[in-house]
Parts: sequence; structure tokens; C-alpha cells
Amino acid sequence: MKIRQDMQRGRMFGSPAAALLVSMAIAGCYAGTARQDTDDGEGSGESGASSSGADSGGDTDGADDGVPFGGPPDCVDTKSYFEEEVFRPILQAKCFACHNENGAAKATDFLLQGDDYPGYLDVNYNTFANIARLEIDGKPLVLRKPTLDGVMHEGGQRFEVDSPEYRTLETMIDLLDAPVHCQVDKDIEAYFAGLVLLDEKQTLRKATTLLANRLPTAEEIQMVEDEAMDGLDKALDAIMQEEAFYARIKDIYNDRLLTDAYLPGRKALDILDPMRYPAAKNLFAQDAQKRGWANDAVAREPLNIIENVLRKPNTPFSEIVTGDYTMVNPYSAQAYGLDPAELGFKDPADRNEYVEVNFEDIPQAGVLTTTAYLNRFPNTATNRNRARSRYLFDFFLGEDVLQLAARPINIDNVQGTNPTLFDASCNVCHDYIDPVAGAFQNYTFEGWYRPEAAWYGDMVPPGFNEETIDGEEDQQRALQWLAERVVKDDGFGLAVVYTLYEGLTGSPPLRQPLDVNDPDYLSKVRAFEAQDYTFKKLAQAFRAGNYEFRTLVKELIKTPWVRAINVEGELSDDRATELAPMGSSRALPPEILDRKIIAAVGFQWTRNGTSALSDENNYRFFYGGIDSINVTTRLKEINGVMNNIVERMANEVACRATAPDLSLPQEDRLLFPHVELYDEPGQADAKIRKNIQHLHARILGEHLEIDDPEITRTFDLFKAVLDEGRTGLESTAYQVTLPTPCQGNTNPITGEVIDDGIVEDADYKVRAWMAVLTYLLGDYEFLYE
Amino acid sequence: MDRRDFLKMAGALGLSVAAPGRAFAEGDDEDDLFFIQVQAVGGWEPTMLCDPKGSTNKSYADGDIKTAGNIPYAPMGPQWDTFFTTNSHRMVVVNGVDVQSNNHEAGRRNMASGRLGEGHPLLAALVAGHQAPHLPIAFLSFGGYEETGGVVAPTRQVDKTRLQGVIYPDRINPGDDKSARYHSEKTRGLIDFARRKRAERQIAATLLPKPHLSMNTLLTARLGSDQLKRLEELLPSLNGTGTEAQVELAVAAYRAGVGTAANFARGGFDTHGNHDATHSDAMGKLLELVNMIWQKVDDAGIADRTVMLMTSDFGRTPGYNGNNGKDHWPISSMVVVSEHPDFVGDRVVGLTDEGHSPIALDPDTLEPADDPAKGARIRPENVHKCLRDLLGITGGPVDKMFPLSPMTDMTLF
Repeated sequence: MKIRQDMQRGRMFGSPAAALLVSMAIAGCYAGTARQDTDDGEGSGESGASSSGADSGGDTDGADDGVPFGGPPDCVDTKSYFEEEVFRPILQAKCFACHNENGAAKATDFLLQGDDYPGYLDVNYNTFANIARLEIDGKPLVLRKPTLDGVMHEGGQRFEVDSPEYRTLETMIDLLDAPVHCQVDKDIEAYFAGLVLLDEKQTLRKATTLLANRLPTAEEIQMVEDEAMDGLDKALDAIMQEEAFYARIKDIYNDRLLTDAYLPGRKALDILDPMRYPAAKNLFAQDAQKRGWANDAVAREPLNIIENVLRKPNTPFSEIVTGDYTMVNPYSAQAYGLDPAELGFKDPADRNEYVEVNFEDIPQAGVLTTTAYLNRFPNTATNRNRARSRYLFDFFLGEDVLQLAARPINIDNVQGTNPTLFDASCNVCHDYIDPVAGAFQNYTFEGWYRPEAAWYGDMVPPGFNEETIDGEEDQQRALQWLAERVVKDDGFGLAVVYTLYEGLTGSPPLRQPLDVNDPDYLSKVRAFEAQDYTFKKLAQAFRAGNYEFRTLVKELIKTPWVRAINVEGELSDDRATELAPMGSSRALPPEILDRKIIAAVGFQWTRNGTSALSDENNYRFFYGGIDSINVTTRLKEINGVMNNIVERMANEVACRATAPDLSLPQEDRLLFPHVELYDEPGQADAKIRKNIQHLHARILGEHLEIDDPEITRTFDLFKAVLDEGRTGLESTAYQVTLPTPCQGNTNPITGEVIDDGIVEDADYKVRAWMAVLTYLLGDYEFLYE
Repeated sequence: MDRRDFLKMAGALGLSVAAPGRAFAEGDDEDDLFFIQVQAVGGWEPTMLCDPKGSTNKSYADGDIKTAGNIPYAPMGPQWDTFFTTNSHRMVVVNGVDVQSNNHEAGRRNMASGRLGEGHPLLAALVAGHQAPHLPIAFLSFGGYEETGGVVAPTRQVDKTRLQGVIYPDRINPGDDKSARYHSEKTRGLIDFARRKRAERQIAATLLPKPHLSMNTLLTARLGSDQLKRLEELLPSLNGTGTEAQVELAVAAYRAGVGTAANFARGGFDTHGNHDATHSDAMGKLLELVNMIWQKVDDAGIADRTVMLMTSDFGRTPGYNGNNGKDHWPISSMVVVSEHPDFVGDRVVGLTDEGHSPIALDPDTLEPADDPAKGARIRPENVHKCLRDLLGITGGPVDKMFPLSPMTDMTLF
């Protein structure tokens, strides 16, 4: 399907390698030819895996659109040839003056776009390819017209038969018969050169934090130390069976689908089809708790389907859109008029138990046919499901069709009859998105199944990928029909990669740079192509592996896009721009930071009895969280207000943690297992340093040598606070008694009273350790991942 | 890495980051302006606001059109009257703006940033990034197009009660200035010193741009966050709720020197059905917001340092669809309000015909072109270019990071 190939993030120029070449050539930075020698050894010193072991994330044989990669040494890249030899010297110089939107030839099919039109080279390539098919007596019209060879041309003769221009066009037409992408592995591999990655142990910590909301266990660390990557794989396999993993994946998908908007109150039950499910309206009207359980189950159907697919053995992840079922708990089942006793629940009173339910009268397509999903992305009379189409492309095909919207329209072109169908500047997009919009034809604005309504006759017929939905049976099950094709498209796997990548790193996948006038255009293209290369390899392997989700997670986490933390050597400006998207470093979302605090110190940071960070009545939104309704994007960097929240967190948590932990027997302590309160600097430096080393590992994930400068810095802080505090005690400026919230009477982890818990701090040692803990809890390494 | 390079890198990352500390900041310049962006999300109808035409709606006739100063406006209600009569002397209406898109996201982006393609920040973020990205509430943002281009870390969802709790993070009881502290002031100084030294070492050792910038951002946030205390004395005057609280905070943040730009958004304009009633309701609420903003700006005595830009996704069709609604139309209006001494208000530039199509202009005189085929249309980038000049951004690092290159230069104000 031509248009789709052009529009996919990685397909704008056909192939990553071709795009890179083309871009370099356009900007005059590449040595003037599309001919590539892919294995001449040139530059081999910086190609391939870096000295740090960075791997681009896959092998290199990936033609992705049916166009074969060419081989060395005489490879002529078709698009490069067009752009270097055909477009600029011939079409732009000799044709564009008339063949543009406002030119004398604007009414012809040969309409070229200027460089103010995003993606103009790609568009012009397609236009030329279409025109080149037209022949008169076996000779292409595109050769006859400009030479006045047996046809009229209002622009007159532009060049002669057999002139260099003529021969160039002949060659181009031949190339179009069998387009070739030239493979340039070394450019891709050079991108990854010199990167420094998290080691296996650091990667394990990152994975446990991001996937399981906890720190790695001693056994896991040992396994990784013993078996390196194999050990990491084994650890990840186990991590991805934990309950927290399912919650994280659901969080990641909710950041996209935003269906948690229906969680609070009774909203989800209210959006169910009142004709089909009349029981929902007054379900448990006298029992708010049960109604809430039913509501939340309906709201989370899309996410529960995803969880169900992950839990079912040997189930391809594609079932999230092909599964002919939804998920209900005993309470939401009743909203659908179902009897829980007949659904096979082990415990019909357990709100956390879910089963698959097939509605016999509705052809279900997993997430796509849940009311929560359809209602979250509703339709209007004039939108005609185009928004739903857009989101399907985005969420499940990895394509941002809105990038097309950056192409300018002319007011003169939208005043005619039905421009989205008939005007070229409109239907270039609408021919693409409208068929998928039509596949939602059986659903009302609200998301209710109503198959009886006819679809609009003035739109491109419902379908996908140049295939039309024919016959009443398929029309009735149009979303099922669509889902079956979506999961066979390369884009499905790519969409999952994108979602996971953004969920784990906070960074959206890179988009194809379109502005050739951007001074950093080339660097951005290189970054895009390198990422696209990696992600497509992952997606291909994901698809080849029958959409085994956990394998994809493991492979993604091991790529430099997640693991890169530094780069060797000096960075030029261009190289720095190239590497700008590499690695992951974002302020942890409030929910993850909340859990990380629990993992580090054993208890939650609370305010008014609930989570200070996760609860929307506390700092959740202050700290960049979302409500899935009005606030739908997360803040990824810490602003001044957020920093003060961090400071308060570090102070309060250190206050609550220090004295109680020091009050416990040494063997029961999480934070201070290597010191006693009588250990003094100068007398017990080794023990103090060992505990600081322990805190750096536990809080920050830093495994430092005992004499590391950072251990020394923390040791110096401890000592300086101790000296300062003792001076204050001597002058009676400071009190001996600890502030009440910081006293050690209660174990903040268990809530149990600690007999003889520390209350007095006569030598300021508790407060010195509190200062150390505050220092570490506010560190970049704790707040970012 | 100098400020220019830092910002450039931040933009390439697409992250919301702030410049690293005072060394790169412009300082707390008293000449810094207060910039407010207001977005009407969904696509407003200019003929129901500042480009009135009895021919394109069912709500009024040509003879009903009102005028404030030199500015004609739609006679739709008291909010309109207040808006135009209060502000016409400091207002420039730009009509006939060619948005070049009927797509919500693309149009909104173009109008808010001056660029149809992706990547440019909305002007409010650009102003904050230029003037004072280190301030703790440099850029308050409450919806609409919110791309920052990485030049400033946005702040949102700030309310008085919670803010009070974090202004003094060292106090055990934050509302009590005699409260015990978690750490003595000297200990706090020691912790901060150790953190800063560690951060400097981390930053120096990290060349990879993404973590490097994140570390810088945290450092910047730390440098500026103590300045939140400046806001304390103004907190008692913040008594509003909802949107009013947001406006109060934005004005107070500017007055306290901890903020410099704010972005507000109002929805409800995508009226494909029952247009006149629904759209006028949305427009009325938008104008209530804007009137409230200017009331508070005037009360604070900062009107001469305040600049406001009002935009929407695009316009709406001259005619009605079958649902008595109006669909998308790529011609719209933009409104700039300011008492800045270099800004001459009480003017309308740009023209549309009875069918709300743009009339080609002579780019020098801004009058209808003698030869329409050679005339120019005003595009959002023209307005943004002029605003950047007014705001003193032109030629600065963020301006160079996100350049504007209008097809035709026009001096609109």
C-alpha cells in the first residue's frame, strides 16, 4: 500500500539507510553519490559494536517494504538517484515553475511540491513514480512531453531526445521498475560507537525499578554477577511474572489509552449502552462499594484484557485486539446482565477475579470493542470516526497520521464539493485514514454497537491497506475484520515497541525529521534512522516470535536506547545532537517514585494518611502526574516546585526512617546495618564508610569501592554535620531531644512500637545520619531513571 | 557548553528542561515582560468575535455590529462589550490569518507557535525560556498546545494550599514560621553544598546529552526553588478557586519575580452542531477568563509590562452544515493585547471578504493589494515574528533555536 509505506515513521524515505544517504546528499554533506560500498572496511575502526559493547539491537538484513537491499559495490539507491539526479537538476530547474499548486500546470496530474512542503521530496518521488507509468505507444509520457516527442506540451520543449536530461529520466524510469535501497550498515553502527552502557547489574536495578517497583534481591544480583547477560535474562524472566509487572504494563498502556479516566465514581457504568445493558444504570444503587467495584472493572476492561493476555500461557500479545471477549469481575458481569454464578468464578464475591466473557451478539475485538476505549475516543457527526482511525494508527500501528496534517492546505482547495474525497491535497491523507474510520461504522458516538446504520457513501469505503470490507457479514464484524489485518501488519509490533519504549524511558519515539532547512536536520536524521533501525528489528523479531511480549521487553531493555549512560571521548556539536535522544533519563513519575521510596526505606511517604506522591489530593499533580482526563501528559523534568516536594520528601522520610532503624537490632536494619551509634569518625571510619557504601548501593544503586570519592564525600558530610551539630549542642542552641516525628518509638515499616526507641540524640549522631539520608534521597540517581 | 548550545541540545531532546543555573540565566531582570497566552481549543469563529459579519451567522445582522475605538466586534453579549471596550485601546486584531490547516492539532500548533510543522514551542514557553528559565514557576501552563521545545520546565496544577506546604520544605510544620526544622540551617547548607559538588562532578563526567541535561535541570530547579519564598507574602491574596486561582497565581508569580509566562486554554469551540448557541457560550466563557486576567493585571499595575496573545486552532466555515453547526475553516484571527509602550493598539490589520476568505494584502501597506495575485496573506508566523520583536526575543538564543522565516515580511504592530 503505497501511501502507508510512505507515511510510517520509518518509511518516509523507504529505508533508514536510503533516507540517511538522501538527507546527507540533500544537505551537501555527503560525497555526492548514492553508490554505496557496504563492506569496504572503511571506517571499520568505529563501526560495529562499540568498545563499550553497544549494540544497535539487531542484525542488518531488514528490507521492510518488499524492496530489496542492494549489495555492494555498485548499489544505486533509487530515491537517492531521484533526488540528486532527477528532482533538483531537472524537475526543479525545468518543470517546477509551471507544475506547482499555483503554476500554469496546476490542473495537471504532474503537480510538484516546493521545499516549503514538509516531506516534499518524498511526495514528489511518488508523483513522479505515478506519472512515469503513463505511456503512449510504449514510450513514457514523461519522456515525450518535455521533448515534444509526438505530443503537445504547453510548456514547450524543455530538453531534447537523447540529451543528458532525457537519459537521466530514462534511467530513473528503469530504476522505478525495481527500486533498490542501498544498505549502509556502517552508518547505522557508527551511530552507536563509543556509547557507555549500564552494566548488567545496573540494568537489573533499572529493570526491577521500572518493571516491578522494587530493588533487586541479593540472589538476583548474584545471578547477574555470575552469569552476566544470561543471568540478567533469567532475572527479567522472573521479574515479569510478578504481580507488580502486570500493574506496570497496565500503567504504561493507560498512559496511551487513558481509560482510567472512568475510574472515579460511577462514570464507567454510566457509559454502557442503556438499551443493551439496562441493568448497569442502577446496579448496586444502594451499595456504593460494590458499584465502585463494578465501575472500575468496566473502566479497566481494556487494561484487564492486556493483563489477561499477558497472564495466559503461550498467548500472542496480538490477542489484545483480536480476542473475541472482554474481561469482567463478578460485579461488572451484573452490569451486563450476566449471572456471575454461570461464569466460572472461583469466588463470586472476589472483586479481583476476572474471567473472559464473549457477548454472542457483538463481534468483539479485544480492547477495540470495549466501551471504555470507544467512549474515551468518541465520534461526532462530522468527524466520522476519523479520530478513532487516528488513534488506532497511533496505538496499534505505530503511525502518527497527524504528521500528515503538517502539510499545508490551500483555502482555495477546500471550498469545493467534498474535498476530502476529491481534492488531491486533502485525499492524500483521507484516502488513508478514512477506510479505517469506516471500520468503526458499527459503533455510535458513545461506543455502542449498532450495526444497522449504513456508512457514508461520500467517503472512501471501509477497509484497510487497499482492501475493502465487503459483504454484510464482514461489515457486521468490521472491527474484528480490521484487527485481524492490523496484527498481520508490521506496524503492530512497532506500535508495541513504541509504547513500551515511551513507558520505560518517558521519551516518545523519534519522528521522521521533515524540515530540511533545520540546521540540525542531518544529525536528527541520523538519530532517527538509528532508532528506527533498532525498533524495527525488535518489532520484526517480536512478530516472528509470535508476539511474545516478555521477550520483547527483555530485548528492548538491553538496547542502548534504554541502557546508554555516557559516551566516550569528546563530542562535537553534531555528534551531541545526534546522541540527544540516546539513553533514558527522566524524572520518575510520582507513582514510581512513591514505590521506589518504599523499596528503598521500607515504608511509604504519606501525607494525611495517604500516599504523598500518588494521591491526587496530595502531590500527584504537583509532581507531574496525570489524571487521564484533563492532564494526560506527564512532566519529565523537575521544576522548582517539584524540587521543593523532593526536599520535603527527603526530609520527612529521613526523619521517619533514621532513628527507628538505628533503634532496631543491627541484623534487622535496612539502612544502618554496619554501624552503631557509638561508632565515631576517627575511631570507626571503616564501619561508617561501609554503611555509607551500603546506603549508596541501596538508595542510589551505586556499587562503589570503599575509598571511592563519592563515599568520601558522603563521609565528609556526615562528619561535618556531626561537628556542626555538636557545636550547636554545646552552645545549647540545639536540643538534645529529637523532633517528635523523628523519634524512634515506632517502626515506620511495621507500625509496631519499638521498646526503648531512640528519642534523645545527645551526640548528634542520629541527625548526622539523617542528613546523609536526606542527601541521598534527593540525589539525581534516586529521582531519575 | 554555553547557553545557546545547552538550549539547542535541550530542543533536540524535546525535553522540558531549564537552563543550568544562574550562570546561563538572564537574571531577574526587572524589564522582563509578563506574557500570557490564551488558546481557544477547538477552533473559534472570528465572526463571533473580532471579524464580525452578519452574512456568516444567524445571531446578528450587519447593522448590529458594535465598535470599540477602531475595532468592530460581534454584538454577542456583555462579555464581548467588556472585553472590547476595556481593551480596544491596547489591542491589535489580526484578521484573515491563513492557518493552512483544518486539523485541530496542526492548526493549534501553528497558531500557538508560529510553525505548522512540529517542534516549535508555544510562544509562552519561548518567552519563559528566553527571560528566566531558572525561576521556580517560570512557565505556568494549563492546557492547549503545550510543547516547550525544551527551553523551560513547565509547572501546572499549583494551588495555594499545597504550595504553602512546599515553600518551606525544611519546616516540620510548614505553615508555622517558628516551627522546628528537620535540619539546622547550617546542616542544610552542608547538604546543599555536598549535593552541588556531587552534581557538578556528575555533570562533568556525563557527556551523553540526555542525562547531562537532566542533571542540569535538577541543578537549575534547585537554584531557583528557594525563590519560592518570595511568593509567600502574596499567598494570602490568592483567594480564588479554579481558573481564578490559576490567574491569581500567574500574576502573583510574576509580581514576586518567580514567574514570567502563563498559558491558559478554554475548550468547547468545536461546534459542528447547534453552532450559535454552543459557540457563543464557549466564547463568552473565554472572554470571562480574559476579562478576569486583565482585571487582575490592571489591579496589579503591570499592564505596561504584560503582553497577551489569543489564538485558536482555526476558524469555522462561513455556512452551516446539516446539524446547524459549522465545520473547520483554515482562516482565522489572532488578537494581541498589551499596554507595552512600544505597542500601538486600537488597530485591525488583515481583511476578509463576506465569505470570510482572506483578501490579499500589500505587505508594505497592509492594504488590499492592487494585484491580488501578487498580494500576500497573513500567516501565524507573521504575527509571531512581530511578537518576538516586541518581546525582545528576536536574535536571542531561543529565537535562533526555533527560527521563523515568513514567506513575506509584514510589520503588523
